[in-house]
Amino acid sequence: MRTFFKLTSISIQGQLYYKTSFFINLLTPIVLLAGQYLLWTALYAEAGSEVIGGMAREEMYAYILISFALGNLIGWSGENMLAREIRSGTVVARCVRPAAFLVQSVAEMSGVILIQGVVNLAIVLTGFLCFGRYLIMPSVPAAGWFIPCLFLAVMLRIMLIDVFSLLCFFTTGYLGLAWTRNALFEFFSGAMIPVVMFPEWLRTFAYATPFPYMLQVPSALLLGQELPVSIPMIFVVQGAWLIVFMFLHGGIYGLARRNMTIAGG
Amino acid sequence: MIRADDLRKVYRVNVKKTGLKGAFENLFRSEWIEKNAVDGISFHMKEGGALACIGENGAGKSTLIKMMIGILTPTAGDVRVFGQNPREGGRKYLREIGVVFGQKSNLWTDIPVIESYQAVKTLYRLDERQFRQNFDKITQLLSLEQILPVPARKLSLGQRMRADIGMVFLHGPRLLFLDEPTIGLDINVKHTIRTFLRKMNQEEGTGIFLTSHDLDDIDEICDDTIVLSKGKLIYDGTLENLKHRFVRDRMIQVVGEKSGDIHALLPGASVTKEGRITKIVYPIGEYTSAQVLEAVSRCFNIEDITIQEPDIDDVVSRIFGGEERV
Repeated sequence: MRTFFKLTSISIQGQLYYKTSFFINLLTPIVLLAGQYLLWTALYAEAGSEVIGGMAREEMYAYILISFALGNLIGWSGENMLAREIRSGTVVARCVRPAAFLVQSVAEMSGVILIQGVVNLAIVLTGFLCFGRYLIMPSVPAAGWFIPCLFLAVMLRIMLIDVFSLLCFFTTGYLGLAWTRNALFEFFSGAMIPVVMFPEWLRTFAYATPFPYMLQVPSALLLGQELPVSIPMIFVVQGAWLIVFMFLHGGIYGLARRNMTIAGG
Repeated sequence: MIRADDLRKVYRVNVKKTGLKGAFENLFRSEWIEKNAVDGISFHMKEGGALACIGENGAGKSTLIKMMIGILTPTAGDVRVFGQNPREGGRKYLREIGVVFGQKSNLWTDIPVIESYQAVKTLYRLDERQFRQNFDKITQLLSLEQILPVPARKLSLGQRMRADIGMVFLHGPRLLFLDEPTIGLDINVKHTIRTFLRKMNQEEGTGIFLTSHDLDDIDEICDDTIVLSKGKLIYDGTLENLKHRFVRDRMIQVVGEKSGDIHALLPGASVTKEGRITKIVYPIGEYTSAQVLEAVSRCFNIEDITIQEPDIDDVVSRIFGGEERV
């Protein structure tokens, strides 16, 4: 664990070193939050109703706030650290450190998430404190379930980024991979539109993927909204997807080690 | 320390067709060829030795290193380092070796160098005494004091390489793999690094496996050499032997007034004069050193005389230029 914490602390130090870049990366996602708020305000006004797709306005505003906090835990720069290292070949340094490759990735991204997580938590708390009367409030038992669910959701997100980044060993198109991953995550996780608003066939499909368990499901759990499975089953599904991602990591990294042409062939 | 037996690495390489038509065809049809990056190499390096690996670009040097450090799986053959398979050695093995790729830094780029060094202490589980002892020695020998508080991203190439080399010695590796460590460096930094590496090899017994295109690196650091060409091992022996086996000419440089006709005594030699310095290049198959020295002493009022050692650059350029068959 000392290795993990040291690598996490290095990741945090790296982010804090350049002040301007740090603040820009930290605060620009707020624009997205404002955009989401304005979009849904307009949609509710257009619909002339307080309920759209089974979600009341105060439910939606709370959902936007929570899903923003979960969706923006890792910025573009943090998401693509490993991919950039692989493309530039500097990943070779990771390969020769006496720490598991996966541990290094998770530790590094944990550092990114910790910093952004604190800021996002402050934004969420401010949102609930200032605009609580326009939002539905989470219950204490829901918050208790939410914490382990959030932990697993974050781990799933880290593993998703890790696995997509490892594919950069086999293609030069890391931007394409990053956009594909982002598109899949944004759409199927419920970051853009809550999954409960999808047509039934698409909702069924979405729940068969790991994406809603990274964002929609933890948000819904916290806000007491409709869940695709029972609460214990949520943890089972999240755990199962984590195992799948770990196998994918092992398989892809193993393949990369057979044809690693970084740092000279 | 290192034993490679019939080691092979075959890469699958995608061959792209040329031209506009070819570019479209490439979208739907892939052609793959197999490239023997390392082709049946066998060699041995003794404990605490310093072995140079020479080869032109694409000869397989980096691939060989990657297999020996365990990040690349060989296609066939066997490699053992400290008697174990590097692929199976895991973290324990990685704690016994050090690796420097000249063009890729091992430092964390956005934090001060000293923080990277502190991370090494944790990653390699060094106790404070062991860390401090190595740290002080490295800082002094590589003159790192000034650059420790600076993030790697802001270092010059020479500073970065000194910091990288220093970092790799913090955990006291038994064996060090260096892939072109002095590439792009100025002469002072090269000298500092070579001196440091030689000292660590001779005084601390750290084994060194070095690849470099700078043959002065090899001359100053290593005793033994392997030469690779197109993935095959074409020479394995001492550096001295390599030089003497392929040197055809030797040069004597004389300072002093000419008092006789050297051409008459050494008709097979070529003589050039630059001011008061005369350079005599003679074929070693035709004349012995004693014959040449006697001729020189008869034809010059000698003020100074230098016998030039065979130059490794000449040897290697001959080997790879196809003049020599090994």
